[in-house]
Amino acid sequence: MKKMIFSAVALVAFSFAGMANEIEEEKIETITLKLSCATIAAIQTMVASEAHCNETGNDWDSWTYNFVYETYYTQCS
Amino acid sequence: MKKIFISYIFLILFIGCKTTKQNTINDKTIVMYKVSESKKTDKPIKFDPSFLTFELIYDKNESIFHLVDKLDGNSNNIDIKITKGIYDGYIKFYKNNLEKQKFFNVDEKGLIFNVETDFKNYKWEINPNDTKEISGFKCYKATAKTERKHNGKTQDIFQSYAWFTYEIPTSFGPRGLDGLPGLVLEGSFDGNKIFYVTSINKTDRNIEKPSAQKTISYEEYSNLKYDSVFEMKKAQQENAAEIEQAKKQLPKK
Repeated sequence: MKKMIFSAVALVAFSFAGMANEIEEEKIETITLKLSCATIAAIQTMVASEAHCNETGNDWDSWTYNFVYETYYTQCS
Repeated sequence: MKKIFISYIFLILFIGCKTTKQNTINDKTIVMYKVSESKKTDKPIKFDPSFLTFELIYDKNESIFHLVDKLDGNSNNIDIKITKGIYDGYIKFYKNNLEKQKFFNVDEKGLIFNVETDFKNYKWEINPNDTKEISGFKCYKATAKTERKHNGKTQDIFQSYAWFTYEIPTSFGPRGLDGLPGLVLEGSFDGNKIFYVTSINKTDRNIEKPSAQKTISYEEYSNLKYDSVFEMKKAQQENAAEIEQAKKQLPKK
């Protein structure tokens, strides 16, 4: 009897652990789908601009920054 | 008989001289340039312009400068596209000394413009004491301040410079850096992107004046560009919360 109860509890515990992983994966997918192209392009441009500044010590001027943003935006839409 | 023979010789010499003179007038030169970024670190650059090659073709009166576009499988690669754009690979610079015309040709959101600039848009200051040798030519440095405006209000200021040589007496140069008493062998519009010569040769290729769907002034073009910049900033402000949320999801370095 004791062995049966212990097995049942273990089974339920493992089932909950499995479901928790599935719930977490669902949440990440939802966040990705909800971002607009404007946001995606803004993030990509920001990351690229910061990388360029780290690599060269130079900032992009506003026209260059805007060009990069519009290129990423066009790719997204 | 002798007179006829001598006249014939003179005629041949005259035609020969005239042809030679014409060839000299129409002599064209092709100058190849590469572009680099002035760097304060030794780190490799993501948007590395070392694969880009530009050419300047000029004769006595006109010139055209543009990217030598190698259409290959990488042309649609987003990083390649961005690199070309950063280093003015999508712009052609044209100048004609006879017609006092200077413009650059650019595709702006699907519409091709010829953007007319002042014939002498750089107010160069030459420093006779600042010299260096480039490709075997003694070069002098010229500097100029360049402003970009939106509706008459200065938005950006650039320190442009050019190294030119009197040994090649032409007023042309790369990326619209011209108007000096010699060929520009190295120069930068913004002080960071540096165009430098790799070869100079004679050519018989034609100088093709770029065509466009519309011709506008530099002032109009500058207003257009800054309108896009401000639209981008406005969109970022409107999406500020979403951008902030997305930034938190970025992997930490």
